[in-house]
Amino acid sequence: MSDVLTKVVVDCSTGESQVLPLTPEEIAQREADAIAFAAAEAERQAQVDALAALKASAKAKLVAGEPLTAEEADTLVL
Amino acid sequence: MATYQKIASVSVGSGGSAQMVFSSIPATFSDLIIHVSARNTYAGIADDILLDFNGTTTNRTSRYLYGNGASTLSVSVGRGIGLQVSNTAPANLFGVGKIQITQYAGSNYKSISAFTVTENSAATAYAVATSAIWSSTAAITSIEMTPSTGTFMEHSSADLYGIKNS
Repeated sequence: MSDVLTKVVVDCSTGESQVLPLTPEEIAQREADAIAFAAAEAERQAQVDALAALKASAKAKLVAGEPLTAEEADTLVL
Repeated sequence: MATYQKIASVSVGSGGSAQMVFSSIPATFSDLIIHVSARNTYAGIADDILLDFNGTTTNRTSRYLYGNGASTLSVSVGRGIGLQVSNTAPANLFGVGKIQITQYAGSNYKSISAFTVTENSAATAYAVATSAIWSSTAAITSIEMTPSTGTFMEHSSADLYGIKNS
């Protein structure tokens, strides 16, 4: 893969397709986007993991006949 | 009667691409539809596709409602419009999706809906419903799609359609 970052642009008025280099501003935006994605993905995964843990705990308590916390009950009640 | 008309297609060649762009979009339609098929170089299962307009990255907000077969999640994602397959998924698999932009040439804010799915021949595949908005009164004349990490891989593509109402 080329070291020069490029974008493919289609002009809808002519149908012509071009491969153009990214501008310095676009490259800087890419770097910011990658950092933002890493943070957002970590947060999403944390939410998924927390919900899975709550549901597992709620299920175990139901089976054992133990009381659920309000958070655990929220995972089961629609 | 509403009609679909294909406006343009973009595809990524060998070497990949950091962005897929539709420029000089005519203002002669009511709404726009994008069919996208994408895979990117991110070393993970899936990655966001960022959707921007007219060369700007501001005034974009989105919310995902997504599920992976084991859990569901509702999350605010800024400029994301959906998920694509990334490069730890088995070879030759791409995420696919449909994006609809209503009243794109009008002078109100632009409402956007999307549905994207990923596949990786394993348990963790995603289905994402997205509601989004571009808070700008400008007509949309170009659309930029960008992976939030890495680059689009060869054979990623998008088709742009215009809908005319009557």
